[in-house]
Amino acid sequence: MADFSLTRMDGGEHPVLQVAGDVDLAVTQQLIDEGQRGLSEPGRTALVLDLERVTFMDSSGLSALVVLRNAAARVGRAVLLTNVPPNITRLLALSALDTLFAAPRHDA
Amino acid sequence: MTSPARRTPARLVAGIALTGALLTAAASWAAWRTNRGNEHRLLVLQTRQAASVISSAIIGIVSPLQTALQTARATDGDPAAFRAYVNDHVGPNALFVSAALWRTDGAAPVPLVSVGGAPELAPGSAAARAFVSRATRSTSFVVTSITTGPLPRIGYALAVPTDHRFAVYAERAIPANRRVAVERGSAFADLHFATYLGPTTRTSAMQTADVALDQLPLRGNTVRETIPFGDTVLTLVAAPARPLGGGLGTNLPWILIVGGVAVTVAAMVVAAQLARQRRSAERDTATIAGLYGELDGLYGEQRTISETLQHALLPRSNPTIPHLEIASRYVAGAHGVDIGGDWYSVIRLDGDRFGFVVGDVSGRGVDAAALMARIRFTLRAYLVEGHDPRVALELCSRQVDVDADGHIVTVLVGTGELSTRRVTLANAGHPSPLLVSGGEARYAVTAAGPPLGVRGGTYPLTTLDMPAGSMLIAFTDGLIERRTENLDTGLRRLADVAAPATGPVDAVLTGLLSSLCSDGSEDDVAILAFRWDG
Repeated sequence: MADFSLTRMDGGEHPVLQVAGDVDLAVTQQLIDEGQRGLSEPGRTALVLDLERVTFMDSSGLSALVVLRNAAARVGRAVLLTNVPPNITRLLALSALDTLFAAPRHDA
Repeated sequence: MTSPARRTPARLVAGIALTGALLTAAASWAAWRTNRGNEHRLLVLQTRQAASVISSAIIGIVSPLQTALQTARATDGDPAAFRAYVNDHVGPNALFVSAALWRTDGAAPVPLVSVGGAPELAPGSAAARAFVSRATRSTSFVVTSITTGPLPRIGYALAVPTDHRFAVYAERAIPANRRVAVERGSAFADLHFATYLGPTTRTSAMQTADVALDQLPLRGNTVRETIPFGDTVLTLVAAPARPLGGGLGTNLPWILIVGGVAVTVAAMVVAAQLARQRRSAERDTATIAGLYGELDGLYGEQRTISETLQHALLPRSNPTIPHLEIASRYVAGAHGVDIGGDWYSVIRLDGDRFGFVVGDVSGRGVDAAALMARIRFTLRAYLVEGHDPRVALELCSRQVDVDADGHIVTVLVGTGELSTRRVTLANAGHPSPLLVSGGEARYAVTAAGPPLGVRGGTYPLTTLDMPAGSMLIAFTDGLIERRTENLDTGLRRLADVAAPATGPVDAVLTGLLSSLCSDGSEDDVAILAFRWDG
């Protein structure tokens, strides 16, 4: 099991949360709390989740992404996924959640 | 805690106290005895030394008298010569207070010449004549104690037995209180002493002492020495004025007692403290063990409750449907006590139709299981009412909200027609079912909508016409998902294992689980499979 970590990156147009390790039931609350903090920053239009170093995600992780997406929609913002590894792209597609998030970008 | 464990410290401390007291007493007594022995030996040595000093002093007193006697014999009793010699030794501060030469070859001794003060023993007296006569018969000088005057004196008389012509008589003063001062560093410096004329220690015979008369006779540790003194003896009695071996010897027993008591008390305190700490550690250990025991009990209890609930929520058995062989499995993952949210369900709808559902609520716990039960029975109701899988899912999706329920739910819903072997599917973000036919396996292609809980999804229908003898296997992701590999690897492995499977459907599922989950899948697994008559 890869250690989970969240790193707040600064400097861009949007706040970026770098997610690393296994995203499962044990860490979903942490991901939701930290994501909502990013969404509450004033003057922003989106929260970017950088998933490059995510090694695994289960349905609890997916549910956390949906929760953040819904929270963003309520305040007129978006959740953008970036550097999504192929395995997570496949998981999002299988779960029919890929259309829910803005198209993954690989050029962040 | 048992009572022996409580008693032990008190016993231990008492034992230490007793041992310490015994050792201290023994050491102190041994030191006292050794010191007493040493003190006595030193007293004997010092008294002998003092006796030899007195012997020398006696020689110093008598030798001027011997010289005076020789002078008289050489000059045939010339008074002038006697006076000339003796003058230096007689006077208030000299050796003698008076000295006289006697002629002793007549019928009775007659004094010839006297130097110094008047003798206490009057020259004409019978006592004087008797004393001088005694000297002429003695091989040594003779001594007498004179106590008739205001001050005590000692009389000395000296003659030569082979020459009876002359004898010398002299008197020596004794200090008024018979007390003498002792110089520091002398042989007597560390002693209290008294000297007695003759072999007895009667106070009347006492000559000199360094203590007051009322402190005599000396008591305690005393040593007696007898010193030859003319035709009699001088008795010396001595006692230590201070510890002869130094202060340490005397103080050592006390030092040992104080030190021993201090060490014993310290040992008692340390022992009591250690015992207390040990008892407290034992208590803590017992408490911790008890808590762990309770925790184990609670854990086991919760696990049992979870399993009971899980089994209560899953169907006891699948319905019997003609021309259809149905089997299912539920396997709890190798995780903690939390209940999972996987389920399966098969429903007979009417004479020709049946419905089936396989679903997975994200997360774990009782609320996940409760949501699972809610969705399971809601979907069942919609299917029983006659809705197709698309409508059933869309109706159901309005009743689930991830923001309120905290979970998303993936579900595969299908209906089948026995007469046509046509299967209609709708999918809410769930893995597509595997179709096995003629030794080949492929996944159905479904147009999936998002999981329940994500609002606004649509769930288009997929229609499959299944060949006779073909099998459909619906499952939850626990069967294919591994943390260390991608999803397609797991899907391919399932297809590879399922393709050649033959025999009863139930046995096929047993084989799949033993191939794919033999290592104990982390997640729960639900599988539902059915095969059409061949």
